[in-house]
Amino acid sequence: MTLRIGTLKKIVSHDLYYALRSARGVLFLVFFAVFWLWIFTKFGHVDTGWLKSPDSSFILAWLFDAKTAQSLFTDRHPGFSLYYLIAINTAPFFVLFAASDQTANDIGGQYLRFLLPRCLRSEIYLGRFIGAVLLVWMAYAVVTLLAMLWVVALNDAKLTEVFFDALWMIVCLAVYAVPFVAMMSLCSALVGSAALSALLGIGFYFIVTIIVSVMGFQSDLLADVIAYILPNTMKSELLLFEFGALIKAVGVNVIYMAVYFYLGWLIFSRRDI
Amino acid sequence: MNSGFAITTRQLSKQYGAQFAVQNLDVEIKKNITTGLIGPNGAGKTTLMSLICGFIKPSDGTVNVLGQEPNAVDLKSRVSILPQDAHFLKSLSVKVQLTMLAELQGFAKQAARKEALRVLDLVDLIEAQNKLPEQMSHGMLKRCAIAQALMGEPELILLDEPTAGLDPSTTDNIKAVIKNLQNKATIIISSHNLSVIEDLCHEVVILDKGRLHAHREIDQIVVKQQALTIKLTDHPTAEQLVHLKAADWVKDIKVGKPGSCVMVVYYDPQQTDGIEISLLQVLKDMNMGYREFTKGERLQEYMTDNFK
Repeated sequence: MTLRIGTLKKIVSHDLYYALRSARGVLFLVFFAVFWLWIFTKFGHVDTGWLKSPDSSFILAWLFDAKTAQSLFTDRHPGFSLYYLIAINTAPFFVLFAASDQTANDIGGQYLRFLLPRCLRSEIYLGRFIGAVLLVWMAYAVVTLLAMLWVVALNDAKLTEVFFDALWMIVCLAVYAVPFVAMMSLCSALVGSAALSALLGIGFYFIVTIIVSVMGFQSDLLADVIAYILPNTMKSELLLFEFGALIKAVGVNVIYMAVYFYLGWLIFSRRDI
Repeated sequence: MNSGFAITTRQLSKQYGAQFAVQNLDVEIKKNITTGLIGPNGAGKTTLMSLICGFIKPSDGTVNVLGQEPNAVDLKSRVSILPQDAHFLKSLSVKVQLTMLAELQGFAKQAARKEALRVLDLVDLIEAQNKLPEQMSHGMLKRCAIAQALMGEPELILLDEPTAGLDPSTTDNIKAVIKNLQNKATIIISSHNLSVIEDLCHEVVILDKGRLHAHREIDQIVVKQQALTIKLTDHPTAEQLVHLKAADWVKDIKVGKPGSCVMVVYYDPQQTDGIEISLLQVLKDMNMGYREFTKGERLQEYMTDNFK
């Protein structure tokens, strides 16, 4: 894979510039902003302190293992942890949507025919991937910082208490999101439209999730194996707020990213444009 | 590799299923001249251009462009193309998009903006620089696409149907722009507008059903000196043709398809003085009206005769 760093930087900066002006980018940002504004308005009405109380332990033990429940609701501010839980559980949908048009519209609209005399396919493919990653990272960094200020203002959290957790969450969400972006690199290399690419990615995610759920009734082992197709197997590790778990998640997600990215590259590098 | 050739193909084939778009093509296109790429619909012109630019991969054979493989990093920004069906991005003005493309071509930010304005000026779109592609007509978008192909100093310029959809005045303007580039770059023009090919090209590559039909200088395909092409108001009758052939300076007469009203008169090269006047006199004598009178044969007639 030959790359010219200068050209790659230009493609990434153009991609981000375009993302903030295109219908696809604006639509993502609007959905994302509306969703989080709606969630934040609910924070003021939720007694997050209850999550820390012994009464809640029964429900939490049913949802998480004891270690995760303690890490989320006892060791740190439960309101902020609630934000993190919502963010990590909804991340696949937002990321699949935000990263749906990497090379898809370039292929469909044949814009690549303007790019290819100037750039290598590898630069275009990697540039679009990095552009999508940065867009998603920026969106989650901003919303996490807003959530931090929100719980400080409305849920009596102390800034010193939640600041480092906020940084940790940004890193975890970044690690969690990257393989999904790579998955969409594959989807967008397959089809010629951003909408179709989003449909393919989200449809694939739903279908595999349903298959895993159904298979779970028959065989836990088989369900676990199938679940590894999707890049969300490290979610439980990322909820632990432990350095070792984070490193493990980074390692596994790098493998997910490499596999999806490479499969997409195989298609993109060979396809007729 | 012979450095006298900008493009060399060897046994080049592109297959879609059982159908060959290009088949066993051996072509050598000379550097620093303008070559026309013509042929009937489905001849493989756009496929050949796409193979040259690396948009599509050959099923068999090789393409060599300026001594490199089509997707080689050394070729970037040395080759430019006007693609046939490519669309600009929505929601960004053409000036911004051309600036972005110029940056990718190696221009610094400020220089890229200047270059974008320069090429927009060349295609008479300077006043539309801030328009979005969705606000522009087909002709304006075509001119924008031509503008991006003119950026920088490409050594090889491929123009796929550069005048399709343009009005006559803009066509003349684009032809003038291409003429200005002729000694600075190798230019390949694919077009169904054969008068554009005749006016601009030194050589033509004629494709038919994906195969090479001919590759010659235009003068070798159409006689330029010893023929006169006349477009008549009515198709000539047999009697009129007999009368014409009786003239001692007429060597031969070729008549176009019935209804085309085209007639080519070949004359004796020894008797060239006042030959046009003599022919006009004969036409007048026989009450034959005409619309066009051209020296030499036209590529149009050659193509019509060979690809009926």
